[in-house]
Amino acid sequence: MEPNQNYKKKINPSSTETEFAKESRLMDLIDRNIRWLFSLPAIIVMAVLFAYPLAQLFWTSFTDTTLSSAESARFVGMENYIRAFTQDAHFWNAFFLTLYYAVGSTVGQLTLGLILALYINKKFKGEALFRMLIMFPLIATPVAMSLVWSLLMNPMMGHLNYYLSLLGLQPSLWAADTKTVMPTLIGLEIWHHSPMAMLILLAGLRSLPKEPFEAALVDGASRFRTFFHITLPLLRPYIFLLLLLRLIHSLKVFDKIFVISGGGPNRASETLNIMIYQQAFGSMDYGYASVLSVIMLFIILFFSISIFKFRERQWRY
Amino acid sequence: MHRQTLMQALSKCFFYLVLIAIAFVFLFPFLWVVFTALQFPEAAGQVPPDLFFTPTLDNFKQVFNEGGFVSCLWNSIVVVVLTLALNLLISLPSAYVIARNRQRWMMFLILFLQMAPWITLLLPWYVIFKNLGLYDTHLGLVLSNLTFMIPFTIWLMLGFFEDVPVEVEEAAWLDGCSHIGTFLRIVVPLVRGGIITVCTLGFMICWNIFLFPLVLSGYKTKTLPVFVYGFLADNQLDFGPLSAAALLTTLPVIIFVLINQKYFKKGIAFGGSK
Repeated sequence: MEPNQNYKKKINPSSTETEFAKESRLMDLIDRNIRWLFSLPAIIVMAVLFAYPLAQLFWTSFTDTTLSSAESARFVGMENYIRAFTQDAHFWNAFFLTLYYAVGSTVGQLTLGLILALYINKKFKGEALFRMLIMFPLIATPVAMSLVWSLLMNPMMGHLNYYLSLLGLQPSLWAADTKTVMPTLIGLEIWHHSPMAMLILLAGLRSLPKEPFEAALVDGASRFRTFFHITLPLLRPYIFLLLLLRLIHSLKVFDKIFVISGGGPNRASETLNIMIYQQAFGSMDYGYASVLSVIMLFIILFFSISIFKFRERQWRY
Repeated sequence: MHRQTLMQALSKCFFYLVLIAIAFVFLFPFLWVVFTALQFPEAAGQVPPDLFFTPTLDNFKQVFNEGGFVSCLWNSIVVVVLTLALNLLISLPSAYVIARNRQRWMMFLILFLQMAPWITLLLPWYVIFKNLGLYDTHLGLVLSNLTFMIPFTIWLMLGFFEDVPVEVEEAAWLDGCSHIGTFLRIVVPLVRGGIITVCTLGFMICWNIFLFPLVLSGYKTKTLPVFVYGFLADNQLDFGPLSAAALLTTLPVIIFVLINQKYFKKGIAFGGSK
């Protein structure tokens, strides 16, 4: 800092500097505190839209607020929390369905994405076209695509059962049956997001150093061994990050489940998101919905910390 | 020798066949929805499907005639454009400062905010927005979109700002340029690619978002995804018009992203690798 100031004094003789400073003292003040001023709008918006609502959410989780009655809310302490953890079987149902959905779809997306990325990891004609076409599920409006899928999967009139019958297979009830609804929804999520996994893993594959592969070739390692002992370990950072990102995203999926099954049949696909929505805007039980939201928030917080730790480690090297 | 080239040609053929099969799986609903939307309303969705038919626009006419499609389209456009503009104004300076000063706690906060489940915010907002009169207004929807756009933009722009060499800025300061001047004239043009990436992905997310408008918009400000959902509830199993509605909802975002394809790919790869 100090040598820099000396340098400035040398090039700006003090006589001209004072006149200049008087005129632009305000500008100078703004300029010196720029690091706070630049962040200010974002901080204000975030405080208003995040901090205050979240504080209110925590507060409501300790009350018996309802949307339906005009009565003012009472403070009920931990009652809502106790209800969620010990008395409400639906909560545990939703909790495990959420995990099932998130883990199932994440593992599926990564596996399929990795297979696709390995398959097209070479130069061929029409690569750009292929990559463009395969991105369509990512771009399209989820609600619109869910609508299309729900038409296709209609047990009575949908086309999917017709195609199954052409192949000589038994028709399925898809989202209308308690047994098949979760696999169906997970399959849809995999269809929706494995192109993203593919794009990221492909970028990873292309950025790997060439030397280990050449060495393996010289040593006569089989393709199988090369993949498990060289490709996968080198890809690990990409896979790990993708895993966390997709996991967090899948925990939050709402549109697809809401449009296709609405949490049914008989709560067989009621994840936490759907349950919160139903509690708040269906049963109007705001206090209880807030508790569920708080729990949801902590699950996500856990995963966010993991990602941040990971990014920080990358930064250091 | 001859046999080897034949084998090569065959394996190439096989490679492309599998490629086409993969593309077909991912494109199937899109092909089907176009196919169904172009059929006569009575014939749409019948089993077995009539592959050789005379296309018609009847389904699209029905969507346009029924229940305010045009006003929902307008709402979607207004909300998306306002969100993107306000977002850049708020997020860019902030991302710049965070990237330059490496404010680690800010970065963690932003990551967490980006991850926060939307439904969690929705409960308190619903009450607050009703009290403030923001319920069923464009401003309310723009604000709700900003909550995920700001963290997302800052997070994505951090990498772009980090890539701008500090020497460039120091040169500008020595020449007597103020911080604001340096930012606007030197730094922002250098991160143009990042800005287009943010706008492309932002357009996609804001256009597609369903949960916020489902709760926060009423009759006046319904956006397209909510319209399509309502359409499904009203016209159960009316395959033709439903397909047309789905197609019309998703077409603008597909066209917009395909135009900016390069930036979209960059954004996806970036969000994963950084």
